[in-house]
Amino acid sequence: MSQTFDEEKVLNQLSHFLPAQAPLKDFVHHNTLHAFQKLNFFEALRTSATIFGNRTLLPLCDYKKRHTAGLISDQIIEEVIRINKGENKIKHWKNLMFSIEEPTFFTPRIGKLRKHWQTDYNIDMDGMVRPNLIRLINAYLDQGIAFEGFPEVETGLINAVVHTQEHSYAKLFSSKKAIEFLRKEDKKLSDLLYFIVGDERYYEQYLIDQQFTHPGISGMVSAIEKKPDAVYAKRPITLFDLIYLELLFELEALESAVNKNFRPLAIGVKFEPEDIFASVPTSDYWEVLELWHRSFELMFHDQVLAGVKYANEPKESPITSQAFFCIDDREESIRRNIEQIYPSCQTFGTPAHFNIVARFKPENAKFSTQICPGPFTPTHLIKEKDRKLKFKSDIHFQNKTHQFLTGFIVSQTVGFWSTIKLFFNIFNPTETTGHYSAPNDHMDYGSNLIFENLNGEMEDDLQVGFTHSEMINIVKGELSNTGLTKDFAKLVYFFGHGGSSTNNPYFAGYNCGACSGRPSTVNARLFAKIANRNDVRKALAQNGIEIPKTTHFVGGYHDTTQDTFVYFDEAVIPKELFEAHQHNKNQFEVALDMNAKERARQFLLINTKRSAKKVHAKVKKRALSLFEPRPEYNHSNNALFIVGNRKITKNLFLDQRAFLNSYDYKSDPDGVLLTNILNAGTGVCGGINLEYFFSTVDNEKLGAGSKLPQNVIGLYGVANGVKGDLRPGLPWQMIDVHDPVRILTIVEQKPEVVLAVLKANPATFDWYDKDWMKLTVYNPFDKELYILMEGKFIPYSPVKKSIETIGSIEDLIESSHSNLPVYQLN
Amino acid sequence: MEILLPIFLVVPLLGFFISLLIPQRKEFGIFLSMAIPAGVQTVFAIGFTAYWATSVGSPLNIKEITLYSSEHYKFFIDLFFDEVTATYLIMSSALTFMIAAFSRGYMHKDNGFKRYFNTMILYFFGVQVIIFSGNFETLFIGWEFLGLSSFLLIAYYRDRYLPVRNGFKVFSMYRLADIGILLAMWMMHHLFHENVTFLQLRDQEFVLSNIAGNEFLAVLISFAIILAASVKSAQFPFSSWLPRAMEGPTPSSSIFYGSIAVHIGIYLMLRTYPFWHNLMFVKVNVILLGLFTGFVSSAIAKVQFSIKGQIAYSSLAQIGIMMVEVALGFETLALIHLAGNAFFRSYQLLISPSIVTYMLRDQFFNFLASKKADFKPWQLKLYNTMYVLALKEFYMDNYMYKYLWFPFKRWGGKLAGLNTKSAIGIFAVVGSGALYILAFYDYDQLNFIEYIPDVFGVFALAFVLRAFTIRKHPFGAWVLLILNHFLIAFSVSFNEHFNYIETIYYLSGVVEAGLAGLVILYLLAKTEKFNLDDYYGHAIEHKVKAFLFLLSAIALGGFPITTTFLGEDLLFSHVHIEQPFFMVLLSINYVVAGIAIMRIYARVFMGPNHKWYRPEARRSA
Repeated sequence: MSQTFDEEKVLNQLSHFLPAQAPLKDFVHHNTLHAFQKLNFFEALRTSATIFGNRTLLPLCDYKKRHTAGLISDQIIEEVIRINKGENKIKHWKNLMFSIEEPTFFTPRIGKLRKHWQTDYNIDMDGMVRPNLIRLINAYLDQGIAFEGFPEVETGLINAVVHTQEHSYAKLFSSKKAIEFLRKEDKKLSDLLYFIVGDERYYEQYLIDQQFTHPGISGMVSAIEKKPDAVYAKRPITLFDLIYLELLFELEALESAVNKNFRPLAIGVKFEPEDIFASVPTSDYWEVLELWHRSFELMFHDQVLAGVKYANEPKESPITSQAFFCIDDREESIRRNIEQIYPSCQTFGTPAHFNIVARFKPENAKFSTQICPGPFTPTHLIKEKDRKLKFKSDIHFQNKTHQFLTGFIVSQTVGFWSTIKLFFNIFNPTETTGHYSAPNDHMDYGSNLIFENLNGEMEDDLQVGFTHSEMINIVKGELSNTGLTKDFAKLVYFFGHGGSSTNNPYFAGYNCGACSGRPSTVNARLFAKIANRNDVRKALAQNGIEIPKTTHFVGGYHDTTQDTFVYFDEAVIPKELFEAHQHNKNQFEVALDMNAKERARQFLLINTKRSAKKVHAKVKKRALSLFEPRPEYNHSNNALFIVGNRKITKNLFLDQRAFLNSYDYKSDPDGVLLTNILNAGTGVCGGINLEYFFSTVDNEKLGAGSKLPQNVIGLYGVANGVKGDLRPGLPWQMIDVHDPVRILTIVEQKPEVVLAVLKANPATFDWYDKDWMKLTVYNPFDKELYILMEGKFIPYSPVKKSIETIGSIEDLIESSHSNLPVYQLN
Repeated sequence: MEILLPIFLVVPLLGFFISLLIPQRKEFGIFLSMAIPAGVQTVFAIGFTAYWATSVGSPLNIKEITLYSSEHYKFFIDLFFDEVTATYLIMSSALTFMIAAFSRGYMHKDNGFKRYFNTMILYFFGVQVIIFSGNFETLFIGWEFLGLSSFLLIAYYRDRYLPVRNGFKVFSMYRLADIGILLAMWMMHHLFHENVTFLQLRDQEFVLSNIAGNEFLAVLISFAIILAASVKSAQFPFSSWLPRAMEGPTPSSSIFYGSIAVHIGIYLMLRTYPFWHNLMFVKVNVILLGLFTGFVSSAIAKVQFSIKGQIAYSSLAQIGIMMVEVALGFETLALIHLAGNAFFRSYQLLISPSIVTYMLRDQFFNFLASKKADFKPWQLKLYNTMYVLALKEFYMDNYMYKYLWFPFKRWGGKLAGLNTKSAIGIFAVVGSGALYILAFYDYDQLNFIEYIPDVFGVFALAFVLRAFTIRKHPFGAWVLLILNHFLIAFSVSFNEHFNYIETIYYLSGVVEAGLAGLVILYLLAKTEKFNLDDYYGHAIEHKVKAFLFLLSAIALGGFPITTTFLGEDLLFSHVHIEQPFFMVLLSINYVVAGIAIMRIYARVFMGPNHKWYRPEARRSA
């Protein structure tokens, strides 16, 4: 605990620990506890819980309930204890696991200091300050819900406040001292803290306490500070501004509730300041919780490993067409359904930016959006031309309706029409302007793309289009990564994906993660266009990838909510392939019906006993309903990241649980390609998985609570009511069927190659080494499994020694609403 | 034809009771128990109205049941139907039906699914009672149901702070509206010397002859009505509760605060229009109130950064205009405006999450960086002033707290010495003395008899204020609130001779509810910790106890489920019109006691449950 106050250090610390969720339009999944990622997983859970009082695992009684229901077996529990504590400790820990009880109450470290306002001064500091602060910051950040905006926003928060204070008859601040501090040239937090807290040793703890009473708004400010482009209307703001104003509000509150010469909080107190971030020693309770959780996870992971090891080889069929999908867990089921219904179609999984790193600007758009994974910094711009869709306006969203006279006219006329609209949307939903769909909001399917750079054209500091050699590299990289470098079928499909939902502020989270929360339409279409070019193919042939003249690439798009496919540029498909394409489309359609039926099993309100076609029709309507808080279940089932040939999973029913990345170990003996795949995939899968994980185990503090009362704030966030703090994380309706288990990554390769790759990439290795994700290697040479323990691979033999075969998936789907175990298909 | 009117009340009430019987997991059944009554009501309402409009045309009235009758006072349920009822009936049942269908999918799997639908049907019933009421007594019953269901739906997410706090805030405001109705009832009784029906009010000769010479009283009555209407319709300066009420699931906010509940003030104004339209002073005040609300609310709507807050304030501005329309006598226009606005705002609220996709798309293609307006210095200063005022909601919330609620807290705080033991002691001495006098003396002969009711009234108010501010012991607060009713009974008994059965009516409900509440608290204290300085959220683990305690609490507060409700109205009628001080005491007592009772329920049973095995919401959520 330092004796002096270092403002910069504390600000950095705060922005590191505050929630890092971006504004709604750029919603991308990330590890909720990213701030603790330098610690080992279970240590991080313990630390976060002790500091912030959030739950990081399920309650003990929940695990015990699963044990009673047979969902966690004794055999697995013993195996977990054996691996983690040693053979001879089984009895000891197993006893503890059943005898230790959850503490009823628990006081976190956060909030202890500021609690003294209540106990020593008898005032409700948060109650007095927070509403004013949240109102001021939201009013400033607002992106366009208000139609009379905050004065002088472009000058930064504090300047805007000073301006408003000086040039207005109604005041934001009324206390003399507060105004004095507002006007001060050289602003320092310590000047204000001196009056409020008094003793420098307590400043740091005080600020941390303070910011975590409203982490939502503070996190948003810190996110916009780090990435000012995250909002369209520029709002220069820093965390410092927010804290400074909050301290001014506190000063004012103290002057009015106590008196002008109030005693600072830490003057004359008996307690010592506490080091909030000090490490947290373990205890039997936490060890037991860890064992329970590991058992719960292994229960599922073991089935998968048994499946990989013991499942029969899938039957080989002649290949007539090939289809690429995103690694997204939602694409696991569509791939499986296509393969089952149409065995001569071979499928591949790869991040759906398809090796295209760029930004995209629709025609007439005022901004461009990133169409590759978030951590990339693109230097290219793809442009759209000949856009045909027009912006549809809707009077219900226009701010004219909130004005005195227009409101008078509109409410007496349009009002009656609204209720008819509502009636029809409830009983027969059709598309409304509140619907998010790929062509409206991203690329118009009927438009053209500008993607070739001929004379070095630039726009917004980005190169417009790719050069010839860049295009070659895109295609070459993509095909080698997935292992498709020979045996091309006549038709090769590249499907991007995205979700279409209505009345859903989280729409961006349903899109492609590899395209920064946009639908991957542009990427799929563009890749096909590039790969169809003769000049590119010629150059590829020189690089050893021979694409036959008869092969044609088709870009497509999978709407995961409605389960529909769209095919781009069908007009350029050669005549002789057209019939084959029609045949493929029909087969895909059947698979989509089946896929919709499989998903509908979790929706409950749809009768899944009916034919797949009928169920699919219902599923499509669902995406258009105003009243549907779960247009789809998104990544809700995610639990696996499998890198390898499709053969190792093709015969398994994985229930939309697996991110599948195609990889051919034979073509990559020294792990060069594996490096790309693991570096790109690990963080994305881990981020998605852990956001679901933590939103599930503590839906109130780490998740967003129920979606049903949510209120949109300033277009960048949601709050529960009108006056509450912003709620980052996932709402309950997105996670209600989620099993909180970590990702198990399975790589098909020699353990030593994988280890070498990881050791060379410490950032990726940390995810596994620190246990935030589990890692297993399936060695194709000796057909054995190896699990990563303490930086080494040790052989793992699944507890389950066989894998059950399922006769008909359809019967299985109809039989259960809950998450299903792993089965063998044939 | 009027013989059919009760059906409109029986249908929703039946739905409510059926909905209580269906278990939580039968979502479809629960949904039907709301959808069928609302659907039947809609169809029936349209048919009935069409027939009525073509073949009757004049208002229908039926005296349903007489609950109490003595020489000076009759308490009866009276039903009434006219074009105002028809408009509200069709609008409310059609919307309720659609919201039921909407909520079925929306609320699916929510663990309060049943509670939500129960409350919605209860609310639907309350609204039907209000719009069909033929006199103030009947209206007041519906008014109470509406208030209770409103509170329960705002605090639907009872394991979080803000919904509970805001629900409680709205409950307090509603209590203020209740006292408006009670005072209007009391004064009307004295003005007309009987319990008038709304039908009688349409008889202009009857009304004018009674007002003649009593103009001041008539104005007071009108203002009591305006108070009730403007609190329920969130007119200035009561507007700030409306956005804060948007804490429940969106469809419930939509139907309550977008449409039906918030327009109920207009209903009250339309209903009583024949009474106050003769009073120019009142009319001018209503017009000013409406215009000012319209102006202030649309200014506030302009700076709202949250979509629901914006819709709330813009809806309020329209309701302000409706007030003006009513005062100017444009009844039909007001009814069209009202129905249209209700439909429009509830739809806007339902699609409010879509604003993100819509506006972001709009900005993506049409974004214009805000141009700096070319203001002269005085314009700039004016803009900024308006901005700050609007952002701070014209200080309405602050003033409401500072001048309305805070004084009660301060007075209650000053009574800190009055602990439970000394209160019981005081009560024992004063009470037995009073009983002795009442039983054995001809107390009319006592000196200072005219001050005795006031003295008891002051004692009662002290008890209530103390109960309102107790920070620790829920038992103590609860006991004080029971004793309060006895003190009131004494005070009124000294005021006038009347049948002791009325006192029994009044106190029997109090005794039952009071004892039940004590038993529940006692049972809960065996296993759980709680006091009144924080929220404890025990409803989550003690659902039945919470429900029973809620029943006891509302009964103790005079809710129309026990005879206390009737007794309360009867006792009020024994206060003379020349006793304004005594009436003020009783009114404040009524408001604060209600709030103090609900405070106990909210603190013990609502809010976050602090157990570690349960994720706990932050205070800011």
